Amino acid sequence: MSIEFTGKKIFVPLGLFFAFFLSTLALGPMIGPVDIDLSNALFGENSDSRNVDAEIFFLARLPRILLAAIAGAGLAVAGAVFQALLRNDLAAPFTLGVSSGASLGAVIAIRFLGVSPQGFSLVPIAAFLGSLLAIALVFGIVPNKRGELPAPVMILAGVTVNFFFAALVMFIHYISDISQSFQIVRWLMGGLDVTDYSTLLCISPLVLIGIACLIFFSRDLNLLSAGIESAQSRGVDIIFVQRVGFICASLITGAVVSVCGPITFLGLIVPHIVRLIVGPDNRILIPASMFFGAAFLIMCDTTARTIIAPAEIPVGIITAMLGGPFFVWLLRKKL
Amino acid sequence: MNNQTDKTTNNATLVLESKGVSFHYTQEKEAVIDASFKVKKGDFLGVIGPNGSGKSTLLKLAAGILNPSKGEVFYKNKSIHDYKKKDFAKLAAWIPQESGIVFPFKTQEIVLMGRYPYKSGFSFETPEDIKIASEAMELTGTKFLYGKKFTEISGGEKQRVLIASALAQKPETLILDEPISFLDIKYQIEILEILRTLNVKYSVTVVIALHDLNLASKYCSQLLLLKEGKIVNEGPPKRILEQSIIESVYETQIKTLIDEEDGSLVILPRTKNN
Repeated sequence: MSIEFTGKKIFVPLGLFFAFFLSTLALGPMIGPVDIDLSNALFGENSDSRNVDAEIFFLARLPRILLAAIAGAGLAVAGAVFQALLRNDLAAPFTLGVSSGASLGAVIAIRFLGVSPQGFSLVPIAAFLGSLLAIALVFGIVPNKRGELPAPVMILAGVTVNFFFAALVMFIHYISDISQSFQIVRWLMGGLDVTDYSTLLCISPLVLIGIACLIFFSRDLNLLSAGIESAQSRGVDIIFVQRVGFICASLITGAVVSVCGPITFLGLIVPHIVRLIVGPDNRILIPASMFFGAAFLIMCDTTARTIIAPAEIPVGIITAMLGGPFFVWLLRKKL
Repeated sequence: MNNQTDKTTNNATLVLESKGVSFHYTQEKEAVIDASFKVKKGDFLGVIGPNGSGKSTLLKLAAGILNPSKGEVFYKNKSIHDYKKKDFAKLAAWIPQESGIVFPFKTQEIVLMGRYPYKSGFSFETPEDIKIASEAMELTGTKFLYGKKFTEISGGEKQRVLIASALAQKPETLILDEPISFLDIKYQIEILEILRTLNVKYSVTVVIALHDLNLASKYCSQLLLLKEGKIVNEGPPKRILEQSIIESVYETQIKTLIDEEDGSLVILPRTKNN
């Protein structure tokens, strides 16, 4: 019996996940409350009369689908990496308080800042700063004398920051007026509805570079996920890899949350589902989670904007409503 | 105290040497105090001592996982912190008491992780890595576990897979932190026999923390006796496992017998009824 060459078997599952992603990417813009004529949208005359099909396709649906892809990919990869770094498969992108920090920033912006003099919303910027504050707090709380980041302490610090920020969010919510209150609730539900290409361009580089960086360190993450001291005894620079991992995953999460709000559950279940299919090797798990996370959020968002059309459901509700039962089914099937 | 050690392994080369090493986790209490010892090539060194005497910490210091607060550890006369981390991992491998692995890695994936020091960046295993991992599984009798999830095999099998994983590092020295403490006697013997084979046939130097004094007596060529972070005695088992020494370190009444088959010392506790 010889040991199989690991390199051979990765391309099949990865290819399948990629194909799944491509098909959602292609189908997503087709589906919606209004039927569009694709050939007219892509190749139609665009001279004097307005090309409604093209406007719906390129301005309403495509940027939103692409944002869903970026956000889903980012959250799923961040979830996989947090699970590996904390050696805990219940960890998620929000375990270390990134989402509550972002929420606090957003809520402060909605309550006290409004819009900037130039007319653009300060909410995403404040949310991103809030997520950075949360990360800084967690790293500040954890005593890392020898540069180590003990997973249980990290989780505890994250939970503490989460609760503290949630209390502040509630407080600000409480002193808000009714219209601010609605905005706050709406933001906290998470959604992809405020989309144009500039938002997409703002977060895509950060998310994509972060993912590339995490994929590059995925072999090191494998060893870390199998035990910190063992990893160290094999020559992994644990301090460096942990820092890179936490910082990249947190920045990805912060960027996504600042634009889309806290889309719950995706970052927990997507890596789980993918791990059940391809195993825990991060070299495969991270890219596969990226494709599956993107596809999953495109599907959820397509559902969110069609199921009670012309109204929309915040996508965070759909991810949890679809993801929860599916996850339970998968777990039961596995046991 | 070192005379006897030197006599038995006189012509062997020095591999691991600890010079006045201390370490403390907290300010109040030192876990290892001023520990000096030498390990020669081909030694089968057992580290023994009561719970909390600093066995694990001493081994982690020797494996470069912990940095001493005082003193220094040398490998072949070079401070282990002067080695590149990956280069040192090619010389000495450390095996934990418990892996703590929570993700469902396959056994062969665990073994292949041992190839880490030989690779860099984002890469997959080469046929050579796979050949070496395969040999390591052969040597530890774990080939039948191929394809099984590490999280679903027994404790004894896990330890053997971890040893295979360490062997995939191609080290000359194995440092094992109480690898058999949670196992029943069958698996304890199985693992110690694997280590003895590696030691005798492949001249792998073994440094192993052990709880069971009788197994230490049967398998180790040298013993290092720890109490409250200090090395209180060292030498061949026949001298260290003497009644008065063990009674004072373990604060327990014992008697010693001689196993007629191999002449090793056997330690029996005296119960209150005696």
